[in-house]
Amino acid sequence: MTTLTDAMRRLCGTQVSRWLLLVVAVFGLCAVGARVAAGATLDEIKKRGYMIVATEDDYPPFEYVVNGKPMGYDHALLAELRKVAPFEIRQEILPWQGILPGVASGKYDVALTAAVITDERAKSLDFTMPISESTMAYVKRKGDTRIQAIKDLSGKTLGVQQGGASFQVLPYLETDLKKTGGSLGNIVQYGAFSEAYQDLANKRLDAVIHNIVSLSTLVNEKPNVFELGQRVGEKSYAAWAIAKGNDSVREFLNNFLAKEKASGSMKKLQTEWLKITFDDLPSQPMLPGDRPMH
Amino acid sequence: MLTASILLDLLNGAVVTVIVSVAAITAGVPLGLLLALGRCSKGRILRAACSTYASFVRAVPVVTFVMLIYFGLPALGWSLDPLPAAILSLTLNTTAFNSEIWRAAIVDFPQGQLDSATAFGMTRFVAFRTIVFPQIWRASLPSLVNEMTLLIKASPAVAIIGVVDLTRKGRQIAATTYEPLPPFLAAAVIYGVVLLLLVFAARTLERQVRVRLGKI
Repeated sequence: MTTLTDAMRRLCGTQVSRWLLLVVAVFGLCAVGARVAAGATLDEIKKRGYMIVATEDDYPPFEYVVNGKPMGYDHALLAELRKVAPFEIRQEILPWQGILPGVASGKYDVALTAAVITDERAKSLDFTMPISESTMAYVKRKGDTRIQAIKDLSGKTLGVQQGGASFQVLPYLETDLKKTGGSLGNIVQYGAFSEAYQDLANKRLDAVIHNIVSLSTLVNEKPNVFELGQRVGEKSYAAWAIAKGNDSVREFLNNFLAKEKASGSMKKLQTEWLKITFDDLPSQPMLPGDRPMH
Repeated sequence: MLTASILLDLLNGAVVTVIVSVAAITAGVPLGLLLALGRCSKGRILRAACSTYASFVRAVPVVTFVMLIYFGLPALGWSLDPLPAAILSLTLNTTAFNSEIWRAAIVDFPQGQLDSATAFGMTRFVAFRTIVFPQIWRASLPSLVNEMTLLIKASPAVAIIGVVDLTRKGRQIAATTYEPLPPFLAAAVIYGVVLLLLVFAARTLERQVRVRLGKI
């Protein structure tokens, strides 16, 4: 112990060593963080009396906020979940970029958001059964005749979301483009899709990639500005995400979703919020291209 | 289009921005002075600890720091709600920058005045309270106000943990109207008004100080 304090005191004097200390401290913090990352089990949640779920605030038609009031498909499902859960459900509303670190660090038990199941995310997260199809597609300016099909996206400037499924679908798009001798053009990453849509309208972008449900909502809202294009990449699904290995919570949510599906309530909420229904959603999380996750 | 209800919604966000900023500024100015005193102290360990803190905080981006406080602290058994976590992060951040400002004023302070005070038998504390502090706060005021304006403009970083400030409100509105320009322009005007009020108050204070106490 004496040697350690001696060594630390000696180190403290210099600038380089200060940074070394800092690095050690940060790594220590990460190590502690990694230990709690599995998240609370269902028993632990029942014992403490509440579950914490995180939802988004700028993801229509799944989750959005109007005049401070949360709305959308997931918020409607959450209201149903609250009716049957044997414990209180606390909700935090925050941007997508904060949700995954929150689930990974165990701060939130569930990312109750329409998270697209991707290979990348499957490495660090588990998912419930899908709540919606969420295949990627592109949207273009209304009347832009240069883009008629996927192959016309070659060399075009595309908008995607940072860390979003729209970004992760780009390798698939590149493979498709290469088949017709094309290549991926400029990619611009946005924090929020509203800004990407604005840049598309302003002609800074040629197309924006996002899931087909959100894009349909956009085109319904602004039919004179935007036009829906084709699907990009393989068929994908959106589901709620939980910490890797948190099987008891996943089972609990899957049971709830299965009942919602069987009773027809899920379909009703899809019609109400998504304006489209998905009748053949799988009962297990599926990776893009209908590959089973487990 | 900018409707009255959207504007009202934005003002709700502005209130949050003002609350977190004012709380962080109120705590961060005196804490910055304490940190600066620590960095100018004779104890080596204290000095090293204080300057390590200041270097670390100034090197980390605000948004990363906010996430570290909100998602990292629970691992150490200390879980905060979003609003307190936001205020704590901004306070710790502005404290580090304020300490630089205070330290510059302390380092610049004429040693001769302190020697005279000691010669008259003043303790270090009395000398600081009656001679040093009244001069350094006036010297530091413009830089401190500058840091306050920077803090207010850095405050949208707290949105990452779910605190809905003015900028985040703008984004929420943009997400449903699909038109980001109107809410962001309105938000920019509101930021401008808040900052102008702050700068105006500081100018008035500086002028009053000059009139009543004379030039330093």
